[in-house]
Amino acid sequence: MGNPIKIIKNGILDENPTFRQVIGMCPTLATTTSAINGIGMGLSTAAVLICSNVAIAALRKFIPDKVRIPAFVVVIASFVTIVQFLLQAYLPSLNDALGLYIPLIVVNCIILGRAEAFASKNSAIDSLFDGVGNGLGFTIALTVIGLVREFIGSGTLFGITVLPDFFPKTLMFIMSPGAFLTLGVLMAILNYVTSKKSA
Amino acid sequence: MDQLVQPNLIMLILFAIFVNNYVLSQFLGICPFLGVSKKLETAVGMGVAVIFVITLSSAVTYFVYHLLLVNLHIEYLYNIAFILVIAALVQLVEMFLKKSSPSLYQALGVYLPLITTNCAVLGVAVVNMQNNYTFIASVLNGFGGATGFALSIILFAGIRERMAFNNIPKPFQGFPIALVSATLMSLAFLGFQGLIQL
Amino acid sequence: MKEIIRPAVVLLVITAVAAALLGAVESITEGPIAIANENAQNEALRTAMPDAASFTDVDAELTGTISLIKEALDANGEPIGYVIVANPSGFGGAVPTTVGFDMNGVITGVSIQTPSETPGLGARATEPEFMDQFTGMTGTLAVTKDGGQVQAITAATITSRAVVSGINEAYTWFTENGGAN
Repeated sequence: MGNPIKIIKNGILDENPTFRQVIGMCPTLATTTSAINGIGMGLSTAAVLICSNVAIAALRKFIPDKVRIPAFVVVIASFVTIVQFLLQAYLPSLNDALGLYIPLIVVNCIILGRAEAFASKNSAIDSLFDGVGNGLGFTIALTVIGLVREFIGSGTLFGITVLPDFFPKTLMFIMSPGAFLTLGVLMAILNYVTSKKSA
Repeated sequence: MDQLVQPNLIMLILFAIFVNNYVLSQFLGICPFLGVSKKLETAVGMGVAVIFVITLSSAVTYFVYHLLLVNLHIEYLYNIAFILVIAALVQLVEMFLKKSSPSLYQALGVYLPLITTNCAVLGVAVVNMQNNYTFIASVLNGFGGATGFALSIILFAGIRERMAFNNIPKPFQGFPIALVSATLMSLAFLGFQGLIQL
Repeated sequence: MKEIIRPAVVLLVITAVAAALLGAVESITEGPIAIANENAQNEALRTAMPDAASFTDVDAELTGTISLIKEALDANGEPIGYVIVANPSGFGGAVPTTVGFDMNGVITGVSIQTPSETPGLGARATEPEFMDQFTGMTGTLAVTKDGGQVQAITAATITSRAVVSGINEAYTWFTENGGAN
């Protein structure tokens, strides 16, 4: 068994799904128009990732290699549907805000990627921690992007007005171009910081 | 809710290509958009393969949903059903092309497996279902959306090919500068917003 | 042969278990989902017609984008107006607009849902600043840009126009059907 803290830290920092692995881009760009939507999407994805990682790791000896991809996809799609039911029942407003992107968690490459790269080769407990780490890494990335876009675009943080009314807001940041720009600049800043550190 | 919707078909295609561009305004299919756009040639291959698969899968998922799931009252299984149908369809297309047209297979073959995880394919199927489009509207919406995808990835590859010769600051090399270029393209496509209403 | 059968059987078992599991979850969450939807609808109805004590169904044909028509009753069961839900197309999809009319065709309130509008832009249609201005208006409306009386949301004219067209559609139904009473 691996070291749980190391596995989690690996998912959050060294192999951050968004900034390092650059996968799962669609929801990252689409749902980060506000910090709260970013958190909601991040946590929904993390929930699916943790459950599917554990389930796939537990079933890994039982699933023949030939059909592993369809089998993984079925497991993932089931958990996505369950999350969708729960959101509809208990958090309808978040479900409305995330809309189409909830069913699309199925094709988020992070989940199938972790299933293939980690859960199919490791124990259920290690896979649980891997899911927690990557899920948190994804959630943090989405929240940061959401915070930046919400602050510049609407002058609010988590829906609370921060910038005074007279301060000009750059609406572009909550529209589609702002998503690409925010992610690109954040990634460049991160590259710069890490290159300074290692130099 | 039970009535099928059929908007103006020409508007639907134009809307899907320009206004509701899957990549630049809906953020579907970003992974191949960023991953397979370094060379114009591969971008064209990917674009054509996506048009082919999405148009086909729009038709197939329409029948799966309306004939199978609705009649059995298991609509809530749509997600599993769609993704399995798409995965199977991609595999079939691959096998069919390999046997019948080796030259086409050689051109598109490598892109086909990648398409299964292209969220635009599943996205179109879910959008068609949610909007309750008729069969023709579903297929044309798929075709239009995929054409929009192909258009953006081909344009984007053109930009990135030129960019390869530029002197880019080190922190921006790779994905960051690609994302910044995508910003400008997305800004340009924003100009189409509001031009067409469905 | 064995190599084909085993994977197929395993896949079938997984899919069957998944489907059964989802069926179970569906039957558990069905109730809460229905309640959540009903709560959302009731809240919209009350915002559109704050004076009403209850709402009853209206036996009328739904036309255009109108998805729901309810007659509003006061505490004595007397009809005091109509609440109509129209679904005009906004920026990213339908914008369900619930509007209440009293018997004279004056708007008693508007409630807007913006599931697919851009946050900070079109989604601001749900803010009181925009929604409350309709109360007391009557007749066919238009945004100020089109020479009307409705203040559009900054940088979200499409959504504002959509809401106005939804209200106008509801008003047309009211004058053709409800107003005759």
